[in-house]
Amino acid sequence: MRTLARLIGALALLVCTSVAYAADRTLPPDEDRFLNVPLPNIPLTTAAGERTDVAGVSGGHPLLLALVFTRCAGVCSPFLFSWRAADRWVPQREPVARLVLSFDPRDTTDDMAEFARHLGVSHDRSWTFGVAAPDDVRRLADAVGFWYDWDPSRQQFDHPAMLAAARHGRVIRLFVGTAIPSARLDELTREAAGEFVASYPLPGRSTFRCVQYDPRTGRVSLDWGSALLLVPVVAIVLTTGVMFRRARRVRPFYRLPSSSS
Amino acid sequence: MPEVLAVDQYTPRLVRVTITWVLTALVLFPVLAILGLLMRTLQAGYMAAVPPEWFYAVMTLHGLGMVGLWFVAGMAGISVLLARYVRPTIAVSWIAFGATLAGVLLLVAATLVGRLGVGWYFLYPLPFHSGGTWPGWATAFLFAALAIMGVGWTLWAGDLLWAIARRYRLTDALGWQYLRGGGTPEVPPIVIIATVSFIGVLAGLVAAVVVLALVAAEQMTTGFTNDALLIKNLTFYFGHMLVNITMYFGVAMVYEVMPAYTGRPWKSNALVAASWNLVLLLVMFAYLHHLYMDFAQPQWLQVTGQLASYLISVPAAIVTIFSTLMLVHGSDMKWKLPSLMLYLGVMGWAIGGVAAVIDSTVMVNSRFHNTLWVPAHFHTYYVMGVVLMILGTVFHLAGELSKISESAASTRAIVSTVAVGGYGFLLMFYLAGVAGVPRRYASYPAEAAQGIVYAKLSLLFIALLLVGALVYIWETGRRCVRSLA
Repeated sequence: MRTLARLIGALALLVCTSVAYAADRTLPPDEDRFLNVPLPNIPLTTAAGERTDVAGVSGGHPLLLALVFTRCAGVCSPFLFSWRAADRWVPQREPVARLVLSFDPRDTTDDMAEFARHLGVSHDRSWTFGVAAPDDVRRLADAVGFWYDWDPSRQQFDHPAMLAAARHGRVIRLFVGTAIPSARLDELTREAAGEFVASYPLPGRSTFRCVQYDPRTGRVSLDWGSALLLVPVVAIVLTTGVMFRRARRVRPFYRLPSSSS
Repeated sequence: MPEVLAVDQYTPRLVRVTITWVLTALVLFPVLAILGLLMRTLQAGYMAAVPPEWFYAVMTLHGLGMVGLWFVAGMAGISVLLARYVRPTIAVSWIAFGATLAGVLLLVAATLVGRLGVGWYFLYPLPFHSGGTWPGWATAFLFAALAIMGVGWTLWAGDLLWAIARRYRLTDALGWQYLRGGGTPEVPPIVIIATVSFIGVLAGLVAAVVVLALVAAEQMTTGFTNDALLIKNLTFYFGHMLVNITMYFGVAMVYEVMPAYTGRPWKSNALVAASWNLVLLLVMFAYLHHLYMDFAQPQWLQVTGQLASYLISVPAAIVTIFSTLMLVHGSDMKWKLPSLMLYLGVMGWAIGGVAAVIDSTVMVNSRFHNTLWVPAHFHTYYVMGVVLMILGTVFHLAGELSKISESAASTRAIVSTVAVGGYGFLLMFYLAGVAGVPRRYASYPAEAAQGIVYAKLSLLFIALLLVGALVYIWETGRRCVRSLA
C-alpha cells in the first residue's frame, strides 16, 4: 500500500513537473531574467574546422549569438536571412562578432559551412558558424534562456528564434521573434557596443500616457496623461479659493477688524 | 503683535488630543527606529539566516511608518501652535487619529505578515508583481491603508486650512499685505507657513487620489493599462510633497517657539512672505528631481526639476537659516533642551539641504542616484532636522503644561548622544554613498563590500542615537502623562 502511495505521489509529481515544463516552453525567454548573466566560454569548432571558444570568436568585441540547426524546416533559415538582410541596413560603428551555433548534435562543421554559404556570409570574417559538444551547447543555451526540445513525431526541434547580444562576456539584450527588423538589430548592436538605448512601450497600450515616442523620428511629445498632472494644482486652486470665500460668509466674526474689507 | 485667542474650554480638549498624538508618536518612533537598526544589521552581514524579503518588508514599514509618523506629528504640533490664532475642529483631529491607527494596523499586517516589500513609494507596477514574495491581499492592504489615511489626513489638513480661512482672508494668510508694503493685518509667520503647507498637503493628497483611482481602474476593469511614468510622476508629486511639507511644519514650529528662548519676537515681513509664497510655487515642481533617471521624461521637465530644486532652497532654507542665526545672535538666549533641539534641527536642515541640492544636480545625480547618498541626505534633514524641530517643540509644550522643570544632566545626555549618534550614523551613509555603495540592498555583494564596513560602524552610532531617543522619550513621556492628569 505504501509503495502504491509512493508511486502515485511520484506520478503526480512527474505530471506537475511536466505541466510546468511544458508551460515554460510556450513562453518566449524573459529578457529580464537573463540580463547581465555571464556567457559560458564554451569550446567550439568553426565551420572552417578551427578550434576556438566563445571568447575567441568575440575577440573582445560585442557578440551577437543565434542558436539554430541546419535541418530546421521552420524558422531557422528565415530568421537568419532576416538577420542578414537587416544587417545590411545597420550602420557599422565598431566591429561586431556574429556567432551562429548549432544545437543539433547531428550537425557537422560541413553542414554549418553549407549553411553559411547558403546565407552568403561564408567569406565574411565577422560571421562564425560552428558546432560544439551537446552539453556545452546546453549550458550556453540555458545562460541566454534559449530552449529546444526534440519532437519525434515531426522529427524536428521545437525552439524559439532568438538573437542574444553580449558585451564583455555578459548578456546585454535578447531579441525574440521570427524576423528581426533592422531598427531592432541596430538597437541590439548599439547596446552591445555599450551605448545606452532607450526602450519604449508599444503604442496604444495605455489610455493616459505622459509622453508619446515616435520610434521613426525619435521625437517625444506630451500626451493626454500629462494633463492629469495638472489635476492636483487645479483642484487645490479651486478648493482654496472656494474655501476662503465661503469661510468669510460663514464666520465673519472670526476675522480681525483690520482684515475686513 | 498678532491678536492671540484666549484660553477657554477649548484648550484642555485640544491638549488631550495633542497629547494622544504625541504619546502615540513616542511609542512608534523607537519601534520604527529599531526596524532601521535591523536593516543596517542585515546589511552589516549579521543575521544572515534572515531571508532578503524580510529586509524589504522591514524597509517598507520603516519608510512608510517614519514618513507618516512625522507628518502626523508635525500636523499635531502645528494644530496646537495654530490654536493660539485660530480654532481647528478637535473632532476632525480625532477622526484623523482613528484613520491613522487603522492605516498603521493595515500596513503592519501587509509588511510583517504579508511581507510586502515595495518601499515607501510603492512604485507602480511593483505592488502587483510580487513574484510570489507577497500575497495579493498585502497589496490590497497597502492601498486600503493609503486610502484610509489619505481621507483622514485630507479632512485634517482641510479643517486646519478652513480654520485659517475663518479668521484671515487668503491674501492676508499668504502675507501679501507685506508684499504690498503694508503691515496690517499682522499675521504671524506660522499662519503664513501653515497656509502654504496645507495647500501643498492637499495638492499632494489629490495626486494620491488620482494614483489610487488609476490603479483601481486598472485592477477592476479589463483593457485599461496604466502608464508607469505617469504613475511615477503622480506618486512622487504626492510623496515629495508630503515629506517637504513635514519639514515646513518643523520650520513653522521654529518660528513660533524659538522667540520664547531668544526673548525676541519673530515677526512676519516682506521677506518671509515672499519666500513662503515662492515655496508654494516651487514645491509644485521640485519633485521632478526624482525622475532624472527616467529617460522618457521630456528634457525641459528635467531642467525644470533642477531649477525648482535649486531655487526652493533659497526662500525656505536660506531665509529661515539666516533668520534663525540673526534671531539667536546677540540675544539673551536660553539654551534649554527645546531651543537646543530647534537650533540643531535648523542646522540639520541646512546640512541635509545642501546634500539634497547636490543630489538634485542632474550631472551628480547620474552618479549618486540609488547610492547610499540618497538615504544620507533625507535622513539628515529628517532625523537631524525636522524630527529635532518637532521633538523640541513637543518638549517645550509638554514642559509648559506639566510644569516639570528641565534637568540639565538629561539635557546634556540627550543632546550629546543624539548629536554624536545621529551625525555618526549619517556619516556612514554619506561615506558609503560617495564610495558608490548602492541603497536598498539587503546584503552587499563583493563589488560593494565597503558597505558592510560602513553598516557595522553605523550600528554603534544608531545604538547611541537610540539611547538619547529613549532618554528623551522618558523625559517627555512623563511630562505628557502629568499634563493629562
